[in-house]
Amino acid sequence: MSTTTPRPAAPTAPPPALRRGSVRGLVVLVLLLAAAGLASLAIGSRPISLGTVVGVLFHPDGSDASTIVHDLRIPRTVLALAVGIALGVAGALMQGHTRNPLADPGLLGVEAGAAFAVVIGIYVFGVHDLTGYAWFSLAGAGLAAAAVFAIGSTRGGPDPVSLVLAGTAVSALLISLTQVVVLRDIDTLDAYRFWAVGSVSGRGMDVFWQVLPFIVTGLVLAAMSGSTLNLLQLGDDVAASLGLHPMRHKIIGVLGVMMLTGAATAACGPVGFVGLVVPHVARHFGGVDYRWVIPYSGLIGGLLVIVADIIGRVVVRPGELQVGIVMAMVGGPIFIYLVRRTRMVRI
Amino acid sequence: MRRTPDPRRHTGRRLLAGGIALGAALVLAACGSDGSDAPAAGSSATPSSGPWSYTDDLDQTVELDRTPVRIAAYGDAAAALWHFGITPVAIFTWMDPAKDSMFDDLDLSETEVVGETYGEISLEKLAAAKPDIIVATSYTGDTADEMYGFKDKTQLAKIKEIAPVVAVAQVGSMKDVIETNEELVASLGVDTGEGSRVAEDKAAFEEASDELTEAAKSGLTVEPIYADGDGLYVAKAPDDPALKYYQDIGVNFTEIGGKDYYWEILSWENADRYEPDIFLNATRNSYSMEQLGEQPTFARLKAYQAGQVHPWDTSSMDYPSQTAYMKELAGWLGSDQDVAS
Repeated sequence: MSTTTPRPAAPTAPPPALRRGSVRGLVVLVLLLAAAGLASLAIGSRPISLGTVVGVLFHPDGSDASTIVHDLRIPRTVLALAVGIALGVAGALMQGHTRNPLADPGLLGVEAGAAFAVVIGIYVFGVHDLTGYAWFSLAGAGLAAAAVFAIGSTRGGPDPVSLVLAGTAVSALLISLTQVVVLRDIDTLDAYRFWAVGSVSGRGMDVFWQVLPFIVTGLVLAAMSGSTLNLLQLGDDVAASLGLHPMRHKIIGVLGVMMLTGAATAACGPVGFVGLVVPHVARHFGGVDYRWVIPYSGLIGGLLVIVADIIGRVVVRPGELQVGIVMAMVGGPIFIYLVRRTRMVRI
Repeated sequence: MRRTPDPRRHTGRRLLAGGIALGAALVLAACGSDGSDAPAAGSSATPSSGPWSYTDDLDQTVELDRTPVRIAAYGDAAAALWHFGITPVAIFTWMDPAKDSMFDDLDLSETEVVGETYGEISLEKLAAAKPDIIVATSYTGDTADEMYGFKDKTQLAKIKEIAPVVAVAQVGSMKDVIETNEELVASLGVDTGEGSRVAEDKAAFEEASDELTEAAKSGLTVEPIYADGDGLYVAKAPDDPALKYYQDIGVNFTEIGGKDYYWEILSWENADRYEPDIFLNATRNSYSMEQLGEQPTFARLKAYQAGQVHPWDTSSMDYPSQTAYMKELAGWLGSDQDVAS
């Protein structure tokens, strides 16, 4: 038996560096986002030359092009950005706090709550404008969140798993009630399905200002969650032994998810896949450190929603496809690709 | 995939998708009811007792021993029959008829509502109303086995066991549809001859048509629309019987592009693709004037700024209903300003 040839010395080279977030990565994302934002001002279902867009951007002249850029494209771009950031961050928080890579912010019941409140607004109170829908869906999201907390709190306090279970149950109930109303009343169905498809068009800046405080609050809660989420990934016991109060931080995180998802849904109806897909993309580029994953998720979310909205404006000219529909068509395949091609980052 | 308001939604009708034209005429066996029921209350029809035979727009020939007196009908058909003087014993429709503007001037108290959601028809209630015939509406692609207003072939087959179903095609020009209704009610015993109420209504209709032709000489362009958050849906006059009739007698509709049936869909950015003098805004579920004004591109349109956005009403296919709307339209064409050119 021949002696084994000496193996090469134990690897001295450091293991391939784990992907991790960097300031450079954030800068690249911000630049991409800025480019997408500009493209969103320049591209629409109505072809307007770039020169004209730039001209009216800085010198509004009351022309058709000026109205379109200032009153239609700027508000929808701002909304798409806000909603994308909110849903991306909410998705990262949700997957982190539940330690479930398939968790979607909608699992907490806020989307179903918003939808039911909108239906009640239409059916009972005759609300038919977007600002009204936004108030009702904010209220509905808040009430559903409160119900989920009340039901999901075990003796030790609310923990994410029972909150998700409670959220699923509350969602199922509210979705059924929503169906009861819309199937009974065709006028309500007509108004509701327009909201339920998820769209950033046809809304003015007023809707953005309306939901902004909730998004900002949600982002602050998310920022508070970032560093503690890393420790929470080690398990509650380890986190507690390191001096953390796991339950308190989880509640902060879940509240953040509810604020962000509720505000995004109020602004433009339910937009699927953003909260599910974006955190995976963020981890792919930014590693597992939540201090990076959260801002990466926000920026990628904004980018994704803006790009999806631009696609929706050009595919069926002179009409448009709503961002919710484009997102389902784009987001679904991305998600399947992520699941198939890359091993899902363990969390 | 893309949600579009149904072409006939605002008029309360829907087209059954698909539907292979079988072309085969289904001759119904004469399955006459025993005819012992009293005529419907309020019916001004004076039935003759003799055998009754009628060939409808789907080439079905219905033969009964007696002239039908108890009529059930799909909502749109029912409203038209009503204005011809026949009170249906039962109706089924796609919404609560009490909320439907089409029934505004009609007394529903003598009529059993046996369905108020599309395709949901209570067979028990319908059978209890003992109709002699059931009048329905049909659209392009419908067949005797599968037609608009019913859930599916099975449901239609069951309903045909209760009473024969007669279809009035809602295609072509509105006047043709009304005339088909007139022939139907005449066969049911309604007096349509000289000096009758129907003849008076018809004369008023012709008068309103002339009035509209005269008013349309103003040359103002008209654009029928439906609006929601997605954008503006612009109707193509030749695809709608009533609009087609107005066009035939001289109303100047904006010419709409696009290959789709009935609507061209414009995003709000493209709301000014056509600049008409007058907008007709669908009354069912479309944006209100206030909501239209909140859309920055729509608010720029001259017709909007001049207050020349008028309701586009749902009217049933009979002389009085159409006369009323044509008079309104003639009024707008006469008084509105030429703002677009």
